Amino acid sequence: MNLGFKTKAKAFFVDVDTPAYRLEAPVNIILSPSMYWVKRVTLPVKYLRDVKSLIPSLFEEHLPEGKYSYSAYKDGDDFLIFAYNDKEVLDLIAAKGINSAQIANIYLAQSEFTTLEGPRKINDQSIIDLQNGVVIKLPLALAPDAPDLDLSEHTFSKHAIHLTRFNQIADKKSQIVFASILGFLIVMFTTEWMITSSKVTTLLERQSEVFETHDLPSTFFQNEAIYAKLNNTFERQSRIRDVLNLALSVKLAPNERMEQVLLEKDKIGIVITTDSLESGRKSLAKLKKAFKRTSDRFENGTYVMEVQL
Amino acid sequence: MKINPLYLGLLLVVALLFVIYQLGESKAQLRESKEALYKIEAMAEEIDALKRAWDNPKTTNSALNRILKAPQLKSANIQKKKKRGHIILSSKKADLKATNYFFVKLFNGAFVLEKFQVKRLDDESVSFSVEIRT
Repeated sequence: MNLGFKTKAKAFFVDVDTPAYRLEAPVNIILSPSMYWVKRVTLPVKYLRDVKSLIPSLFEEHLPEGKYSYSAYKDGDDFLIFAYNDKEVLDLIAAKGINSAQIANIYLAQSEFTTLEGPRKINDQSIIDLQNGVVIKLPLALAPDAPDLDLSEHTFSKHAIHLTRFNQIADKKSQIVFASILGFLIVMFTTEWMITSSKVTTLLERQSEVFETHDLPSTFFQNEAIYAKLNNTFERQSRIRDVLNLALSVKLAPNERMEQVLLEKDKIGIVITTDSLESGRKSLAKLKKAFKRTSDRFENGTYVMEVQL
Repeated sequence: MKINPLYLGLLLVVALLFVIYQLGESKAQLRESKEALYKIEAMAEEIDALKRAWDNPKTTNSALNRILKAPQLKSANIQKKKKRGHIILSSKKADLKATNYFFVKLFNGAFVLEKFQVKRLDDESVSFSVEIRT
């Protein structure tokens, strides 16, 4: 909601009694004194960070029950410390018709009106005024003639506050636990990712080593081509042997004779002398059954069967 | 500048999702690489074996010489001729026993048969010619 970026957004004063508006552009919100608790304290500490750790105990017993955020800044020799309920403030802002996207920054009236010259009317019921250096909200009846609060030329201080609903969902300790778990998981998965990536690299290196070890070309495609060629040779030679073995071992009828077996480019021819086409087919039926791609013919007492490779 | 813890939480969640996604991708890559390595190793072994058997001119030549020296083939008088990349073995007349012995040895060996012809001469003898790639 508030990342602390500097904007040129207009100022918008929000009080419980402020009527709801429909805003078109982003605004810097100034919270009425009725929406936060303030204390001026003198502490024997030098740095603001030391004060911040003490604020919850300084407000103890003064605040109604709820979850509060705290802020502080140095004012002269003293410190001004603040407490506010993020959820209540955000709910009120939302009730006034301002959605979170329209909020540039949020300021407290205390930090913005330190040089207020006399009471200023903030709505039909109330005024704000400066008393002992503290901005307070008072009934309009105390200064009925007070001029309206003019924010058109307002220059903002550097004391923007940071509100978040997340603070209401989970306290700081839970946030730290949640962040730690996420952080641990990130570290764990990142480590595993790095280890896995390194394993992948090792495997890729081993792939090229395999080819080197076997004295083969370095790429997979070259080796695939070599494998295909050799495998083709193996399959062709196996088929040639199958056909020749069967052809040379067939049992022929007594009146038949094997004349020739011939291996040519893509076929093996088997020639037998026999009486007819039918008797030739009968004798070489085993070949026809075992090898589908065959053709045959019968001429002048010779039966020829050709088996395609 | 104070950063909203919600944004920090979202950033951590996004970072976690990113790392989980990258880890998933990396694991898938690892699986693929492993499979590819097995495939490559198997292919290399097979190429090696096929090369040794079917693409080894030295072995082919010496294996043929061993076969031809067999006393069973003496009667067949097998002639050996070398052409470029080929060896032609032929016999003008061989008895059936010698022919059978020769063919069994030839078919059981890893010889690349390019041409093969066997012709019957009479009831007891044949002529043959075999062209082998080296």
